[in-house]
Amino acid sequence: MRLLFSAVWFAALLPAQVPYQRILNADKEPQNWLSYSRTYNGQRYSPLTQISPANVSRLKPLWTYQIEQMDHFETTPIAVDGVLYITEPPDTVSALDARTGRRLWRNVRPVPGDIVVCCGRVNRGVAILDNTVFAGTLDAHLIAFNAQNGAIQWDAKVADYKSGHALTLAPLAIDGKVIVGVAGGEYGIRGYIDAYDAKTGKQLWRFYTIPGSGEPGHDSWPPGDSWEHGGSPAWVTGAYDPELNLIYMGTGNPGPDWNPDTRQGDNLYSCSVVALDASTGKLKWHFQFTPHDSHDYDSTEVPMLVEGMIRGQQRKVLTFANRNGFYYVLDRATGEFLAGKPYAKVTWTKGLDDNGRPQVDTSMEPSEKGTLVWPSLYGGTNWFSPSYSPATKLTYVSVREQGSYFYKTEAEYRKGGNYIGGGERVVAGDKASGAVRALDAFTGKQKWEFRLQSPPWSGVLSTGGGLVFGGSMEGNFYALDALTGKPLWDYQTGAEMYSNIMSFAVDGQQRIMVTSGHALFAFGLQ
Amino acid sequence: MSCRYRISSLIAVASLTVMVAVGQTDPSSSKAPAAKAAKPYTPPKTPWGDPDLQGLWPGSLNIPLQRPARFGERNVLTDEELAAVITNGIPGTEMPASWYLGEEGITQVIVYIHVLRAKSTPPRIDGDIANGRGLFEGKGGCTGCHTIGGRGHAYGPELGDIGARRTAANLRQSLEEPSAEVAENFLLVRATTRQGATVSGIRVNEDSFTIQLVEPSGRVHSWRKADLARLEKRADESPMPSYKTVFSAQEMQDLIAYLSSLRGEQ
Repeated sequence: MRLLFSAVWFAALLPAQVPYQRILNADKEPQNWLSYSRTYNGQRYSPLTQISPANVSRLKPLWTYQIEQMDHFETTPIAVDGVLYITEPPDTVSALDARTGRRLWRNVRPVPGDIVVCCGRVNRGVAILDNTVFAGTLDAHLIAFNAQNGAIQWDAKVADYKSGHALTLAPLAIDGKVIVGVAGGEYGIRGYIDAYDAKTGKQLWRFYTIPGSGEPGHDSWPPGDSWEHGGSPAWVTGAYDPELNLIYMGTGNPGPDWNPDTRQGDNLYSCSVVALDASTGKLKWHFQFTPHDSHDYDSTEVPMLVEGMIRGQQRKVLTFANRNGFYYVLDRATGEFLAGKPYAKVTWTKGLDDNGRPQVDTSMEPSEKGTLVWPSLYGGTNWFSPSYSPATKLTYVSVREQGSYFYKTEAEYRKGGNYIGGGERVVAGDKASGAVRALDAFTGKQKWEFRLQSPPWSGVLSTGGGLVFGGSMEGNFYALDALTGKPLWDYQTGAEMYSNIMSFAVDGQQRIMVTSGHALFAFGLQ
Repeated sequence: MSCRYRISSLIAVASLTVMVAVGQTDPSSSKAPAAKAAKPYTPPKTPWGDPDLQGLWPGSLNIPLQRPARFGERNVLTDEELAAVITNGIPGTEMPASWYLGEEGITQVIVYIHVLRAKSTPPRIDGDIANGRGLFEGKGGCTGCHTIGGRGHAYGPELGDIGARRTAANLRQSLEEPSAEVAENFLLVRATTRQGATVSGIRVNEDSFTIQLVEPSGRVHSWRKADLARLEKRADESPMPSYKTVFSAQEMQDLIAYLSSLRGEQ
């Protein structure tokens, strides 16, 4: 009770808890985790050094917070001055005391019975700005909660959920704005990315991820209405470069997923990364990883913004470990392709040309009888985050080594109905595996790997202490040496891990947070 | 807890059975359904006389507590409804979506369900069941590795309902060429410790850091993989020996007849 009081009292002194300047300068307060990937550059790196290869063997679970739902628990907690803000599936937002895991408040939103979501009633976390916590909902609303008590400040309808739109991503809060994108690539939506006024919930701009009639790129769709149901959702939180004032977000598959016959052309801006002017939502540049995709290789992974030497030149780049199995390095001011290299087994293309465009291999198209292709539709990696350590200059990727049979069937658009045109059957069991791979951030060259028993659904976190944390589908939460990949510690959490790992400190003590099964675990040294 | 879960899975099985039953669409047979031949299910009763459906009901199973109105007075699903179940699976249960079978494949499954319903008694397998049982427990030494109804030595799979899960041809293949198809949860592994000891057995569980295996004696070993000098997985080799030369043709037939008679009804 005392803790709850002190949190409220503390907040009362500081009505603007997290002004934009704090998130912008997140490196000044490594004890907090103020945005989905901690920093706007998407690196999911914690500078905290208390837990290190020398003492990680003493890492212990300190508390566990259980949710009361069966759905996957994919949240990344936001940590602000001793309080954790999380989402719980399906549409609940909670504030927890970071010392004990005891709940400070909770806001449970009823979920309509007729929501349409392809892949589970999931939510990946909140954003915070000033005194407000933001979360998207499965019925496609963006909601602003008072950070002190969870009361709703505003509720903006982003889309009509009955047509298959949903919000599953953690919003991205920048100066005065909240950025979200919609899910729904399996339901024939036309995807978009929106900005809302953080104070009022008023929509500020919308960028359609499929260009409309008369706009550049519209001719990458055939004549007719296929573009109106062409998918291209944006369901994973992006990155932001404050100097360039550009937001970078990955886009998902074109629809129907596995039957591309009705959508001849490149299908812009599906399976791309788009760079949008944060003030206007105007497209600055785009890079399409998988033109005319037919394997559901959503490019909905987290872009990481890094600086370093490329071919003897200091450059600001965007790196992207894509679901299609390739790792990409792009110039983040212009979108110029600088490097691309597979980080997982790839058979859908014979390789990339000098511009990073994949060579078409029609024998790898989905078929009626099924075509065996790597990676599976779940990709070489997926929504769970990669990490970049400025200390080691390595990119860490959680990798899925799994093939699958891709099938092609007819597809017909009906509002709110599946619009997929096929599907897949994965090659599972001992024929599939997983790994954490460390890549040279600027070339994609593999430096080391740590093998996992099966393809993971957990992201990775790298730390200033020189560790990389990850999770497995067999419940292993583990720490690797960031320089060598050597396993240094592991703990059996007892459930499948669909998780994104983060770290913060409370009372000067570093904590590593991870979800497993239907629980959030706090680990620390004892 | 596990007991309550069993109740809910029982209900899930019961609902699956209903769906199979519903596959029969011949209107002339609807008055005398094959279901009559089977023992009707009677749910346990509460002290106050209502069917006892108490337990832990995971919301994700979406089990309706009221008979869905769309079924009306019908006892059976239409072929279209059956096709939908096969195509989409039953969300929240282990029944997977099998859309990839295609229209032809799904039609074949529906036809097969009709055939199953028509045959309310299991196929008769030639052979002397009593003699087969004697061979199983005696000459074959099968109880050294298999349980039936939980009795016996548990190294290989429980076989109490093997006749309901495997055809006679499957059983013959398993007896004569056990390595032709080895279930992944009975993978044979050989582990060599850093001290030089070698243990062979069936993998019980494995994660990225540890492995658990059981020896034929029933002894369970658990190691951290880092503590093993060598870990061999022998996916092409069954822990079970071939019985092709152990039994005569008649003995093999008797054993298959016995195994086929095991249908989970003890």
